[in-house]
Amino acid sequence: MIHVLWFLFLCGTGLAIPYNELLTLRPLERNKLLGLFEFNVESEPSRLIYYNDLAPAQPKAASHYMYFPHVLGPIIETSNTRELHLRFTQGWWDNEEWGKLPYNGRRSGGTGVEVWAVIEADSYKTAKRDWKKLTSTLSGLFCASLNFIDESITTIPNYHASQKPNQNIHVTHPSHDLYLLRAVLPSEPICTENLTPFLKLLPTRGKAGISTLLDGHKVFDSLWHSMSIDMNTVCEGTDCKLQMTQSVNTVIDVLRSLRRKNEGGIPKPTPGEKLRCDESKTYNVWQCFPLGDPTDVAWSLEEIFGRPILGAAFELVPGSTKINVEVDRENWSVSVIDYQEQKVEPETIDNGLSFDIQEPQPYDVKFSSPDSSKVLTSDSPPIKVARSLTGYSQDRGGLRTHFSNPTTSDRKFIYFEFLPWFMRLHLNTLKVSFQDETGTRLLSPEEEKQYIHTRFYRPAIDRKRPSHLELSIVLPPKLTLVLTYEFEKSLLLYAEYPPDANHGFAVEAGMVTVLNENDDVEYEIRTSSLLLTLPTPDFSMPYNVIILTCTIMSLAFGTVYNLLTKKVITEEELEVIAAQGKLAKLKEVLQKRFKAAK
Amino acid sequence: MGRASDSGPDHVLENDINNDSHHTNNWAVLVSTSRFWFNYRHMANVLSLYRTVKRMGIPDSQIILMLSDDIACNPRNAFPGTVFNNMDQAIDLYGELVEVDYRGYEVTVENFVRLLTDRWDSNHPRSKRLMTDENSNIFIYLTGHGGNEFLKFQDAEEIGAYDIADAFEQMYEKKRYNEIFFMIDTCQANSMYERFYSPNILAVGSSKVDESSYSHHSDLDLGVAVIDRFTYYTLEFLEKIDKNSNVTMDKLFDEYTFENVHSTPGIRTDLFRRNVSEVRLTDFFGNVQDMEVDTAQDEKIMHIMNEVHKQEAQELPRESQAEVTFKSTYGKLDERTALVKVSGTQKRLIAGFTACVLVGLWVIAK
Repeated sequence: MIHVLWFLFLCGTGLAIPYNELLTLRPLERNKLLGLFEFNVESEPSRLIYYNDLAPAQPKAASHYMYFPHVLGPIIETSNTRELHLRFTQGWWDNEEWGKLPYNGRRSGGTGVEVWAVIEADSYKTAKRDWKKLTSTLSGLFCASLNFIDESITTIPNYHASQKPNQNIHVTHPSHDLYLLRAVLPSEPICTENLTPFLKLLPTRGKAGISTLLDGHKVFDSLWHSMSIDMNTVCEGTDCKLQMTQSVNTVIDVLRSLRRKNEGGIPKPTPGEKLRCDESKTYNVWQCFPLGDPTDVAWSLEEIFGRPILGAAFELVPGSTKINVEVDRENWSVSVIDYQEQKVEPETIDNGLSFDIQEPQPYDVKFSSPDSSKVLTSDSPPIKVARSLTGYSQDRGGLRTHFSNPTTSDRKFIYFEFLPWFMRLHLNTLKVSFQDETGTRLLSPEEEKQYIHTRFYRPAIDRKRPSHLELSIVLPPKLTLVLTYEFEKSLLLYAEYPPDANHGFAVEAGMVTVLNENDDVEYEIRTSSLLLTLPTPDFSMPYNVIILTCTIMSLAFGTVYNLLTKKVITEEELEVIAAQGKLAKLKEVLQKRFKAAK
Repeated sequence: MGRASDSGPDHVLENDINNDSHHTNNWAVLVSTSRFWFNYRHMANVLSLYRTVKRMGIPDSQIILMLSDDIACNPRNAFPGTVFNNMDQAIDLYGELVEVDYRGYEVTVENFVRLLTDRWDSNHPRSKRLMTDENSNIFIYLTGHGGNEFLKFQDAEEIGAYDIADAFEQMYEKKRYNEIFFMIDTCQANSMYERFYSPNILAVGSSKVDESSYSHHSDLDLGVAVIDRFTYYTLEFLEKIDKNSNVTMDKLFDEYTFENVHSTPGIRTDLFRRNVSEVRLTDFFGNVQDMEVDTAQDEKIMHIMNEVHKQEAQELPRESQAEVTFKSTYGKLDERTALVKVSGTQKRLIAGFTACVLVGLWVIAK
């Protein structure tokens, strides 16, 4: 009873709950909108427990998750996962126009699904077993093919592994260690079935708060989107709690969303009277040079997402549901209005406005601007990277990676690349060249060392592990470094080809981790993933071969068998043999008897 | 109407015609087997039935949805996140709460057969398992490209009619179903159920041997055919049915005419114990259940529990969950199908005896 009263008291006074959500909206150039949805939740502190599959009796973990998703808790505990990071990303982030990735790239993966975890285990072998268990269970939870993660694509990034992931984690036993494991599924599609379980993890189940805007039709109609889950174990003394941040980041094309709302999915030609023509050029009934996108805009979130925000996540809890709008306040007028068209009083923050919504009623965010091209300038990323495939032959290919430093100071970064085992890397072909205003120049091995400080390479083992290349590079300002190397394409076994083998094989993105002066991670960026064409056999060939071989074998066998088992004789010889045979004797006897009877 | 005319109550296997289904839970296995964008309609077929069984009350946890390709978020799809089964685009089948259990490359013959027979490694997530028992009514729907006695999976492998028949028999032996309603929409579909030999299976197919099944219509905005004829008419009928409906199966079968489907749909009732005119559609599409009142005495239950505990203590814990459940549930209850537990010495004795007999036979033959 006292507890209930205490709980009511807590609710009444609006004390903090271990959950909050934040929607950050930032208009980008050319009528794009960056929407960042962030949800933070914490479990109740409890003692850390090591779950051993083979032990007969299991210690019972405390199951007071409170706001922490009850479906995820046991999965994390039984696989001894101390840290879990999941990324579902699709689309292409436009560096030039949109600048730095949100959260310095720390919450967006490469194309496809990326997962890494820190697992406590007594040995690497046990860690791998728990990793397998974790990924298979997550595959059921997130409707993604994470069960395809096996040792041939599981990798351990050196740099990240050397950074002890979280100093606060205590292992439960001194002989145990923490193991970092990572795998990527670059060709995994991301769709509504992945978003559904993501929303179900929230304490609001997507029924209240900013998560009500997250509708698959809108999220997946964006130019770029990334869903992420970051789970950490944070310990104070022996009490540890799970902290989780879920986020959905999207870049929405505002004009396309509005057009889709008004006209439907298939674009139709603009009627003559609605054409916007450039009147400074030839302009008459027949000729019209179209103008670019309109810049005098007014739209609301409800128009873009198809519905308003359905109230605060938790009623009357200040700070639990916040909306931040990052705009140039002189050019944009932004207001959050409730159901009765009442404006919510904003709070001014560094680069915009912040709104705290608390009532259980629909809210909408209205934007208008006389010149939508005037947005906050976005920082340029510290390193730009582009990777592409070279060559066109069936058995060989190459990779070329460009790194450039657009900033005005030296930049140190780790480039880290995993290639599937069927790309046999020839490291002796690795060439580094150097690009600046004067042109391109190949570097000698001595010069290379000036830029590439350390190299780590672990070759692949067929079907067992991928090849792992990790370089630590320091790039002077305004320079471009080009890395090229060649690889050999191997033939797979017949059953290893996927059903659409001719589509090509996706190769996961390379990862650049930019470090600051203290060697801490400053920014993360991934290259695009690649589609590699492997030599594919004619899949009907085995049947042809089997059929032809069988025919030839039966012909040959039949002939040889006949030759070996049968004797060729003349007709006369046969008569002689027949006369001596038992049948002939029997006939003789019968004939004799017959005659005698006569 | 294929086999419907030559089957009737006289084909019923057991004498006691009992028209109550006696099931306590409903499951649905919905499989599309074709890859690639131009096979949009197969995904749409399956998602239409997914929507129907969900609407009629089967929860997502009891629906196994196998979708062989991503078409909702396919770059070719002008309407991201949606799948339509009609050119009027009235119903978005993908909706907001779809849960796909097996997708893309996971849709294989191996996984399908493993799903039916529930043979998985211990890490396999529960949401991807068909956890049925002897009181489960299962609706199984397959669609894709097929031929005489085979159905192609992913354009790369195929499942044979015998494979499915044997999987069903194994399910029957393992008491994994009460009744199965098997529906298949593919070319020469009827050949797929001809090989079934396990009881309590009702099967329908869209076309007879040497006949193709056809698509219903195309959506020119999408640029592909959106639904197959057989499924279209099935759905047209099911749309009128709600959770509490008493409409029977034969009314659905009446829709399957050559005029509608443009092929000869087949219905196989000889394995089915009940008369289709008294089988409610909700027995398979819905989630209306009977309650099973346990009449066993308490001490009997205690006895069984003790036995199970003893068994569990003896066995290594590495066995799959399914096997343990199977043993604990059926091991002692039914003598006919009870598992015979053979100890090490017994095994050796049996092996020795067999060896002696074989040697004896060989000597005699000499």
